Formats: sequence, structure tokens, C-alpha cells
Amino acid sequence: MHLLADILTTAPAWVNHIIQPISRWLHIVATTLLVGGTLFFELVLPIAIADLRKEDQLYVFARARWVFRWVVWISTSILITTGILSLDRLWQTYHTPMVRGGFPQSLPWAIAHMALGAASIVIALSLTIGGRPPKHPIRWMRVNLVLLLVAVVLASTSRHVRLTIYENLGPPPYWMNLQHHPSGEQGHGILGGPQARSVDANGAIQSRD
Amino acid sequence: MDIEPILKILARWFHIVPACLALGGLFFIRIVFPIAARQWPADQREMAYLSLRRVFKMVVHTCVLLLLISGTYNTIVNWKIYSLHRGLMHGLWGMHLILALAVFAIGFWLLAGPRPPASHKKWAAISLGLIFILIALAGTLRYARDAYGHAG
Repeated sequence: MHLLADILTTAPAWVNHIIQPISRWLHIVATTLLVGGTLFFELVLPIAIADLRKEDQLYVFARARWVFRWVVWISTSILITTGILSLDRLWQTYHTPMVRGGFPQSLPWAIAHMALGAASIVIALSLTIGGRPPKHPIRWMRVNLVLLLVAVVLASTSRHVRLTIYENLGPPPYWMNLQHHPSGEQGHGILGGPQARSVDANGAIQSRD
Repeated sequence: MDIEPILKILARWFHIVPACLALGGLFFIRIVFPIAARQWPADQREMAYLSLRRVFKMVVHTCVLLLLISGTYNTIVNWKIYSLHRGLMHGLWGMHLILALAVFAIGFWLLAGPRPPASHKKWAAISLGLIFILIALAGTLRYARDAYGHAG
């Protein structure tokens, strides 16, 4: 089912060490271009060209939209591809029961991140597809900017919950495969060794030592 | 209520979003705008570029402040883990910091004064390349942090 997670579990560590940082890098770069470009398009450009004649303003907007369309399309493709890779890799951790005193599972935050991300991608594509922009493009860009900023918060929250789970339960299997320090020393979390703890049915942390 | 998780999440957000604004803005001003304004008369293009630059300067200064504050907080929070594997993580963190300071310095220099220096296009492209490397270093550092120790 989770093909990538299975592959990463059995693959040599160096494969993970290359693929995962590159995937993250692409996801972040695509996000920065989309969020920063949208903000620039929506907030900075109108102020910068406010002194121009109306027809010149419209010309700049139309040309900038034509160029920015490529940024949106390429960023969207990268975000969807790398997002699917991350989702497949992290799927099992999203279902880990949360320990007492923390956030609930990571899954709802991840789903909210995906939903908002998908909504903002749809808005961005609808603003750039076709010869003419839809009605009220600036208003839609503002909505999109807010959605993107909230999506970033949700991604951070999802990650924080996931890491809190790691700290209490130990990392999932594919991390175990990565935790070989060049010196041969086994990696370990700050709250103890990997798989050092578990939770009981009530959500209480149990040591496995 | 434990405020630490909220602080960690906010610090990440205030690190990622200013980075988005700075990189996205630089990409827009260096790549998108010149193509969009290609067919304009030179004087009009220059005027619009200077207006963009003036607004972008305010964005960049705010972003640098937020990046420094959130970056300092993130470093303090994660320092324990960085100390677990100094060779790898201090190398990545140090390079990330040095490149960030270099990009800030180039940015301040390019945006100082009412007009940009003559070689501003070349330096803006160099900054763009440095930021891409910077993000790669940050992503690798985070990956190493997740793999060797698990903190915010």
C-alpha cells in the first residue's frame, strides 16, 4: 500500500539521505515562490505601479500574470509530487496514538494542511489559466495568500505533533533505518533511545527498558 | 497551559514566511518583472523598477528582523541536538548562518540609497542562487535533526 515507505525502509541509508532532503528542498522552494510571488503580485506590485497610467498598470499586470503563470504551474506540480512523497513516507506516523498531555494525532493537522494547500492551488490555477483573469482577481489573491499562510502554520503544527510523538514513542521504522551515525554509533532521541518508550491503552508513557 | 509548543510553531512560521517573502519577492523583482516590463520604454521601466525596489526594501528589512529573531530562538531550542553530532550539524548550521548573513549583507547593499548599484542584476542573481543553497542546507539540517534526535 505505502510503496515509498516500504522502499525507504529497505533502501540503503544513503538513498534516504539524498531523496528526502531533495524532496523537502523542492517542497520549500516551490512554497516560497508561490507564497512570496503571490504576496508580491498582490501587495507590492500595485503600490509600485500606482503612479502609472491606468492602461500601463493593466499592461504590467497582464504581462506579470503571464509570466507568473509558469511559476504557479511548476510550483504546483512540485508541491503535489513532493507532498505525495512526504504523505506516503509519514503515513504511519500520522496514525500513532498521541501521548498524554500533548496534541491529538498528527493526522488532522496534516489533512487540514493538505486541504488548504489544495484549495490555494485551485485558486492559483484558476487565476492564471485562460486569457483573462476571473472577476475580482486581487480579492481572490488575498484569500489565497491567507490560505497559504495558514497552510504553513498547519504544516508546522503537524510536524511538531509528529516530533512530540517521536520523542515519546521513538521513531517509526524507516527512521530506525537512518539512525546509523558514520561512527557506527546508534542515533537517539533527546528523551531516550529509539523505541525506548511506548504508550498504554490510557495514553500513559511506558518505558520499555 | 504549556506555551512552549505554541512558541516553537510560531517561531517556525515566522522563519518560513519571511523566507518565502524574501525569496518570492527577489524572484519576482529579478525574473518576473523584467520579463513583464520588457516592451516598455526604458524610462518607464526604470521608474516602475525603482518603485518596486522602494516597497521591496521595506519588506526585506522586516523579513531580516523576523528571520534573525526566529532563527535565534530555533537555534537555542535545537542546540542540544546540534551538539549530539557536532561535525555534521554544526557544519550545516554554520554554513546556513554564514550564507544567510552574506545574503542579508548583499541585500542591504543592493537596496541602500535611492538607486541600485550598477551591477545589481548580477548580485541579485547571485543572492537568488545563495538562497536556494541556503534552503537546501536548512532542509538537510532539519533532516539530520529528525534522524539523530527529535526536537522542535
